[in-house]
Amino acid sequence: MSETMKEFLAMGGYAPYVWGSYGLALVLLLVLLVASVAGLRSRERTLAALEAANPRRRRRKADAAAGGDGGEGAAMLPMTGGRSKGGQNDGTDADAGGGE
Amino acid sequence: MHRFANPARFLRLATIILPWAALLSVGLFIAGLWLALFNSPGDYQQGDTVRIMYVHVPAAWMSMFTYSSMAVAAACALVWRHPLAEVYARAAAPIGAGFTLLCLVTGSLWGEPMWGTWWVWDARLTSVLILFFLYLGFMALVNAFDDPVRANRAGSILLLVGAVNVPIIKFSVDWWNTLHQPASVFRMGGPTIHPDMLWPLLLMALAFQTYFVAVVILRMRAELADAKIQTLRMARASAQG
Repeated sequence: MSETMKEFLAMGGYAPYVWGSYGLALVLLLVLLVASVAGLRSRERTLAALEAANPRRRRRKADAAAGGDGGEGAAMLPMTGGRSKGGQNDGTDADAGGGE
Repeated sequence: MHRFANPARFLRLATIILPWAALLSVGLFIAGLWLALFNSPGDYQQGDTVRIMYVHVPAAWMSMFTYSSMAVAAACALVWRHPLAEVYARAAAPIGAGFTLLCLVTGSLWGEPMWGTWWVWDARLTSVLILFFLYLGFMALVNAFDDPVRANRAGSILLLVGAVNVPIIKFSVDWWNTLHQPASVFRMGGPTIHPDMLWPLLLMALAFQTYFVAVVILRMRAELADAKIQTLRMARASAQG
């Protein structure tokens, strides 16, 4: 290692403080970024799975107006719901069920 | 379905902005770090520890900017029921908390060699610590309700009440004259900092800002997807019953 490089890394004797600050900044910003991307990806996957499981959803209103059932999609609910995000889903299901 | 109208427009806009914000952030970080670490002078009193400033001060600015923007969003959510405002506040909170933590820890790392102490209960440090707890409190509160409407309402009120802390942080160094130095960039009469230090500082601040824009867009998209997932599940649940 060259002399100037050593001097640069030493930061005038304050290396732990200076590099600690920059290191923490790097770690924190990267963790936040990676966690955000991962969170978005997993939700997009869940959403895609939900939409794929119920392609008739867009016609739901028309079906309801015409006295349609919509039972086919609803029958899959416990499966998809339970698999992807159980805890949160239980609450909403119970609420919706209680309201009926 | 009208409540998805606004988010749809936002999502289109976000798709355009995201790559630019990300690219700009990377470029600004490279330029800012180069100036901050290689091409700026040490301080005549503080030596190389002054380089901590280029992380500490942008993090501090962003911690206050993020909270202020969340408080404005909370007001918009409560007054106009803007559907994106609450999404924004939820998405920005963890990033703001991260900036605040970074500000506190780098401040400690700067304080130990220069002040001779990691921490002091002075007005500036204490009010920033309170800001950190406000972020954590907001995140805990909005996740504590099963009903998202009530959760967002409670969160918005907390944000507005906590907004009183922002001017206290800003002016604490003028009102109480303790260890933390007063402002040297945003002050009456212009900056008192040398351009060789001001440039890396401003570049790093812009890098943090563009990073925030990129990550908050990612997080808002995740929040919107989450809301859609909940709506789909609710619709199925009611169709079942």
